[in-house]
Amino acid sequence: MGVVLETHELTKRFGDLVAVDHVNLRVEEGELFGFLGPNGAGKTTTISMMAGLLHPTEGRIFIFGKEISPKQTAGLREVGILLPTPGFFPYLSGRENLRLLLRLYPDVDDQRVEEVLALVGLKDAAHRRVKGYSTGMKQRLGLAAALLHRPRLLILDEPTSGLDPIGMKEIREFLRRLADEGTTIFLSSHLLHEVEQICDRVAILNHGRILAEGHVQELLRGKRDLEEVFMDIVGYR
Amino acid sequence: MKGEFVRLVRVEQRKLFGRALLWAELGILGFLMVVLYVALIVTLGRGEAENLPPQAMEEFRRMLHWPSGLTSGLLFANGGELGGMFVAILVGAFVAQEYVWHTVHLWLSRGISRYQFLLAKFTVILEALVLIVLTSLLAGGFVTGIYTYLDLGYLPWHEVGILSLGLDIVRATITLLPYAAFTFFLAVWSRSTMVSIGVGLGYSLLVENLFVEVLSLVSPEVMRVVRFVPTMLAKSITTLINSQTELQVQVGMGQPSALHLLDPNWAATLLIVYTLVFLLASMWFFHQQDVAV
Repeated sequence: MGVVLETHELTKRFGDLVAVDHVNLRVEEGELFGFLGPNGAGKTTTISMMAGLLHPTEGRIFIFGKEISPKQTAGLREVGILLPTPGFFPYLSGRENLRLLLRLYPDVDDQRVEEVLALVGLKDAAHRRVKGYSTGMKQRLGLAAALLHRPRLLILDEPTSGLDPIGMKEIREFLRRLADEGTTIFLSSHLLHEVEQICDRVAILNHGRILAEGHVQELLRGKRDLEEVFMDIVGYR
Repeated sequence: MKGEFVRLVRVEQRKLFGRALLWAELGILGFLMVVLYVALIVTLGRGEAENLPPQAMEEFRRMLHWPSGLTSGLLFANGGELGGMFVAILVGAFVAQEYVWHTVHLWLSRGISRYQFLLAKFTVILEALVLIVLTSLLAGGFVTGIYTYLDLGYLPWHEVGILSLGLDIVRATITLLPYAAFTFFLAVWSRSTMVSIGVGLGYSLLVENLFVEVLSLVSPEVMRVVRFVPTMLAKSITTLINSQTELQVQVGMGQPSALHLLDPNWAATLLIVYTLVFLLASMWFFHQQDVAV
């Protein structure tokens, strides 16, 4: 299996604040990799750098062997990214927003829009304007947009955010199925129990630093759950 | 690369032409032009204009009759007039709202080059500028066409030069370019709809004219600098539409001074240079920007 996503000493400073501190990650093809940490740990900042939206202060990012930065984004063509509070055009419907995105992918046929809407459970609301969508519906539409071009790598920031418990379960099961079919998934979450259920390997981030990394089962050895693992690592007792 | 750029332009076309803002602006512009010309015609008809000097009266009549009437609407579409105002609102909203709605993340995270993204946007803005100019032309031409027909009993189509009409449309569009580029730059730099529209409007409606007036008060030599301000460059180009070669400037209670406008070809070149400067500045800023989620 090849390496799909890797970061070398990835760092991001905002003035005196070190949001991401020399993060080294390596995600293999076909893995479902969990990127865990509490709110403010640096997960979204890391993902924003992977998405070419933020300039790293130091370090490098590679996706499918191609370096990624705001100046070099060709490697993102085969990546589907879900960012927090995904942005869409409020005056267009969910379907129209996806059709607009589809214009970037001449090799993907129109039917794919309906497929992804069905996958994320938005078919019935697809005709409505996005400005009338709830947070959960926008999240589902964001996931649909990430899946539109059948990416080989999915980078998802809090994919179950805003969803009800049934929705969260559906998305978790869907992601596990995708990974089993060969899609590599890099998933960030602050919900440790959720990640524990579906991820192969995880990295735990706090204050911008990776505190632990490994297979879920290895990390869980002798512990009740990932929450206990996390509490031990950060020294919270 | 070329194929991707064309696809991006089509996406931007859908974004701009698929929303009500552009069509509402064109509708309002057309309506204002019709009201303006009707008011001019009514004023002329009531005889109040007879207090004007004979030369001005003749110019007034000429502006309302075809073939001049057909193109006179372009004078209001240019950058220093109504056109500049509508351009500031349209461009500010079209560009800055992508930051507000977070849709800029949607495109950049798909491997689209930041340069191509901005260039595609500006390409579509150029199309909108042409529509603004055409709306002024058609609205003014419609009212003056009716007035000409009622006055003469026919429309002098044979006097309308298609080539010169086309050139006039291009000239009017060029006068809008720096205002579009300036607002474009403000939108990218500030990421704010309010700042880009507010400053863009403030500049085109207030600051520029004030600047011209203030510099005109200093001395004739300093006043020559005024020729290089976009609104004066625009006036230089529109002299080709309106056949004026000299603009009389009345400054407060002072003596009127003749202001020799720049040669129209130089004026057009400078307007394009201003446009390129703001466009390149926008691209530079955008390239350096952290587009945080």
